[in-house]
Amino acid sequence: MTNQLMMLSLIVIIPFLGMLFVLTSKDDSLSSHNNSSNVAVFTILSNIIMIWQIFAFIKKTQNGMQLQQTIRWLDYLGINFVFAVDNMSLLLILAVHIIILGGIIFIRTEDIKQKAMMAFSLLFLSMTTGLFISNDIFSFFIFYEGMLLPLFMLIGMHGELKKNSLLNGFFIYNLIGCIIFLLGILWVYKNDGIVSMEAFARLSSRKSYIPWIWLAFTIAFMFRIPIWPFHYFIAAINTKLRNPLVFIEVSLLPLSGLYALYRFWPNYIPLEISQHFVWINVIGVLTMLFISLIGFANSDSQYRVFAYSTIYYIMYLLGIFSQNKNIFANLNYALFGFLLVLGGLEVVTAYIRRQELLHASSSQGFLCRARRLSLIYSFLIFSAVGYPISSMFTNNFLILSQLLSVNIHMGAVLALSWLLVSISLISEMLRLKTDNKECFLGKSNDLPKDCFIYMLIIIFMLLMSFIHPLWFVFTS
Amino acid sequence: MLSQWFIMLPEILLISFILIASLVNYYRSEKTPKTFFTLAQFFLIAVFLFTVVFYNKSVFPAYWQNTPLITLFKSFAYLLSLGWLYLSSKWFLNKNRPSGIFCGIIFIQLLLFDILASSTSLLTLGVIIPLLFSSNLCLIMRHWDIDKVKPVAFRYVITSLIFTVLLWIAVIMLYFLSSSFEYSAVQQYLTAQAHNNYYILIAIALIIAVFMFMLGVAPFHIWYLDFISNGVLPVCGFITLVVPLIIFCTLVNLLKDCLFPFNNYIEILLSFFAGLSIIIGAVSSNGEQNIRRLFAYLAIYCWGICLLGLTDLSPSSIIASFAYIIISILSFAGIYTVFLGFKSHSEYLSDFASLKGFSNTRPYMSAALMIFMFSFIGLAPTFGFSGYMLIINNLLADSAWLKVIILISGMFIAAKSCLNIIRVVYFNNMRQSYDRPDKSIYICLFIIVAIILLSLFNPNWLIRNAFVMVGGIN
Repeated sequence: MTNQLMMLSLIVIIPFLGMLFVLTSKDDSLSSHNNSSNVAVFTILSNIIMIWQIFAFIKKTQNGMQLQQTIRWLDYLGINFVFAVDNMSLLLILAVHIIILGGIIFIRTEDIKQKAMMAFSLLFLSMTTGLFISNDIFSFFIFYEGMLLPLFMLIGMHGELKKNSLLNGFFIYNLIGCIIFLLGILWVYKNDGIVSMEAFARLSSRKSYIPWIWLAFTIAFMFRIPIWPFHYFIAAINTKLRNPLVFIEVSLLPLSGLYALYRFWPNYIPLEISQHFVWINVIGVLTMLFISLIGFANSDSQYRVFAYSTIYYIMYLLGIFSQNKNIFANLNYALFGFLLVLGGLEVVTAYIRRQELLHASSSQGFLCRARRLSLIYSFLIFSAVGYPISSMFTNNFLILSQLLSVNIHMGAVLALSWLLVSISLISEMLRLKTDNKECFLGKSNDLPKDCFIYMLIIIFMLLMSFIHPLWFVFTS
Repeated sequence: MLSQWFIMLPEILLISFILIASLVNYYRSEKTPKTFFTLAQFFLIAVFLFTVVFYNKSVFPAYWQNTPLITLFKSFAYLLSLGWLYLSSKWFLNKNRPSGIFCGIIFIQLLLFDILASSTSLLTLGVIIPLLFSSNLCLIMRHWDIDKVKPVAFRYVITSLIFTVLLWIAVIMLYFLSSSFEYSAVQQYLTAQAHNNYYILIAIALIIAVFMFMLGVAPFHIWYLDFISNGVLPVCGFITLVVPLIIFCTLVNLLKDCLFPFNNYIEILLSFFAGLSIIIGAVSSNGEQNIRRLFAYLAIYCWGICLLGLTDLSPSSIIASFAYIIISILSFAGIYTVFLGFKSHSEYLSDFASLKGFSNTRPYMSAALMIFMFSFIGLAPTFGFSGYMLIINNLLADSAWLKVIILISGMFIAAKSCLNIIRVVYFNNMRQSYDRPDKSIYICLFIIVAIILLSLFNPNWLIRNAFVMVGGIN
């Protein structure tokens, strides 16, 4: 289907324009520091409405990318921006918008450089959206690499990292992955003149260089997934971040790697290549086990959230490598639910930590006094551990069961890691619910109204998605 | 006859400005830098227009001949000169110093560039290049503290004399071998040579070395660093923004129209200089504490990449290098504009530490600086990415893996120094006091950023024009 309304390019442009508006907004003590965050919230809400509209245009039963739109770019090399969407990309875009909106709502009252933060967050959103709708290898690369610029600035300005060398290392490390990706792309372009992603997926592995290109792409994408030996910088940065919005945005980096792997996955993989996937499985489950054990032993709530997200990302990665059609069909819904829970969990965790620091109080027992917070936190924890109350339950259990059927040993270690990370999350919740005299936090420190409403919407979406994954789509 | 005078108008106008500016300088009592800029802008706009109108005409085709590609380079050079003269006039006003002689030397350089870029004869090179060296010497001497620049000037005189002699030796050798100074005749002679003649190889190596010296690439970069460290800001800006563009254009012409039969040999020479410049530029920029020198090293690194992209001399490689040099020069134009606004207590700052927390006081200038830095790194979607992509694509098409590895290694090393600049500017809460910059600096920065953003969304205006024009010379 041809996209006549240019809606796809609009959902990339709107956050970019929002960024320009943020840059020109007045944000000082006279304007209560809220101008830029108001512009950001308005921009994201507008884009969510656009995304919701696009859902109505696509055919749910049709496979492949739809609503294709081409924008001329570099005529000399025949390289254009080609945008298209499917269910998965739209669901991911929607989830990313919702969780970044949550991050903004939660930090808008904080006394930080709001203007820069909002501008770079909107730029990040624009790049991420562009990545999910790209349907040719060059525009995919541009948005894939483009995510690094706002991330670098956000981590540097608001990450509160003590060691700046870590940040430089993080950037250059990601740049290495991008360059490997670029070389692979240019090599394919030189040999086959291919720019479309569908054409790339159809490339025959009989060509001598194609397995090497796949290997290069896999390595390039792995640079963004916290799996051994690629985990160091993401883990080091993520566990030190104290700003929920920046944490959420950095947590989306593995998502981009995972999505790239999914999109570039070839139509057919010969046995002589796929037999080596067992190594990925071994490394993947060992990383999961290792991180879940650290999360289990670590008392830092932030690390536990990071461990939780890592376990899930690696599980999805193993799902892709299993080449199981059922997993591929469920990945979009599973990721949608996972992102909502991850975003919600991070902002609530960051809120509790902030209250703890502001009032120099222990947070143990805080949930006994803050009813709104208790409700939200409990629901998110139960959803995260796979309790049958949200869409996380169905899709993720389906993926786990499929992985168990593919390889029982791998599935068993995966289930053990899952169990460990679930126990660590539940023990944190129990700690917050056990009353303590040293806790000076009370009802007045409960979630503010706007945050509570936002979290209720998240819960509502999770509940509705449990009943019907695309409940919010009314036509087609 | 009259038509020939019209064709000569760009050169006549350049000479006329020098005469009129001299008269104004000596006879007008109330003259300010603005007076000279006002005068210069009319002449430069006229020169630009007539260059475009007579884009393929020449009065002395045996010595110099315009082509569409040369006109494109010249047009960029005139526009950059116009912009830089405007900003320089602010510098002279701020320092309360006369700008008449500076403007005169710039116009002499532009006249020499005009002839050099279009040259079709080795004799033209042999005459114009020494004159260029002399005008460079005059430029560096435009400093109020003459004792500071004397050693620099002395070193430059010595090295430029050596390179002048080398150039003359090369030109004479080629003349004796081919019995002509003209590019086409020399090319015919070179094409007829079945075996590599050592005299030819030496002559070509000497000519390439002279061009590398003029471009300021490694290992002949010392004079360039000397100029940047000791020269006044208007001089530093001019030799970074305008000179490389013209030298690059002249080099492309010379290689395409004269030395092309020895392409394989030239490729080795250019790759050597390019590789060395990339590594030296990228590595040295990391340890540098003077920001002007830091950017001088980054410039050496950038010219190295241009040469690396040029090595096989195919039309696609020329387009790639052309695109990259324009992108780099636009970024440098932005950086030098920031330098003009980077002052405290009327003193222009140049040490790295004074950049600390710059974004807290000057957010818009810092944002522009950040865009230029990421552009140098070649990070998508900044404009710099297009340049890198074109060059890497071209090298991959040739399966030149070693060059790709050198380029990428240099890119990572240079990225570190660019990230350090962003880190110091943005991730530091220190609040230093800077002088309020002139509005013109913001206007120029806005224009440069707007060009970069427009080029990002539609790079065709640059690439397509170059494609058509490179097609024109083949």
